[in-house]
Amino acid sequence: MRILIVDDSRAMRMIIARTLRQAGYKDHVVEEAGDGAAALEAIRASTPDVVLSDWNMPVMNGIELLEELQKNGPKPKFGFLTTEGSDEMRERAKTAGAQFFITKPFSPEAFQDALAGVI
Amino acid sequence: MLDPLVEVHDPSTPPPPKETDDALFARELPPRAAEIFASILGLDLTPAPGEPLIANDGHRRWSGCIAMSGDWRGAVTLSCLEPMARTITAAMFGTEPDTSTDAEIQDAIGEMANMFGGQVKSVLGDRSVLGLPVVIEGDNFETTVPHSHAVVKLHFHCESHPVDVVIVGADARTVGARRDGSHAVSEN
Repeated sequence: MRILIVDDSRAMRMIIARTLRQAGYKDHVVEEAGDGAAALEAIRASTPDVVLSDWNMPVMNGIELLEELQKNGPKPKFGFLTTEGSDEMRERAKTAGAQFFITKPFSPEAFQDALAGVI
Repeated sequence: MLDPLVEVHDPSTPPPPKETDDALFARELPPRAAEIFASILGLDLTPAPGEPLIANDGHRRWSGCIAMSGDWRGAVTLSCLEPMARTITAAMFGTEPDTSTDAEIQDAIGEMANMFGGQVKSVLGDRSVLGLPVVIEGDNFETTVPHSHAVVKLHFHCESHPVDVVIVGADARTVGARRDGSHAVSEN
């Protein structure tokens, strides 16, 4: 399975990849993108199975990325990993087609709960 | 007979005062800050109330600041000296503190400020939207948010290093259409 991590922080991308391994998701190919626009390009070039995206990013944010994918495809499984977890944002994410929503800080257990059935 | 679980308010006594933002932050943020350090960095963060904040004393230090807009407007700043910044960065990147580059420290401190901003937003009931973090480093600087006042200043220790978190809120007179406020309050 190919997993694309989208976050403007390289440190956070490394932590997410590390937490995926700690959560038991070890035998997957993990790729990275630094913002929504770079992710869109990467997804259109070669669609991953799952996208784990930050919400708040420069150039193109996470919800804009998801809404663009829903409009014009492709449509990998998609979820958010973000510091902001308001009900309004969760609802908007769900409406746009997000399958999970994890708030930072997170634990391997939070990954397991959110990603069960997705990965 | 009254249900003992029903709270009855005596109209002759005033209702209890609503908790102020500074009291709310002082109560809610330390455990959330400790959770960020524990889960993301694997480090213990301990409150050290009453101690002075990190001063401009010639030592290189780092500050990450994130602005909040919306119903509650303000900013959150996380500050620490260079050795702590390197420890945070090494924990995030899985490297050694001595090998961290400035770009890596900038990234790490910005992301920490982002997570602290998320917690402040959550404490306030998600009435705000976070901006993107700004990171400043040097040995003699002040971070100032114009037309704001310090709401709470929290001091912590991590591995014997000081860590400061300062929250400023927009002055009431700057909320809305009026933009004639003229003073700025330093966080320090």
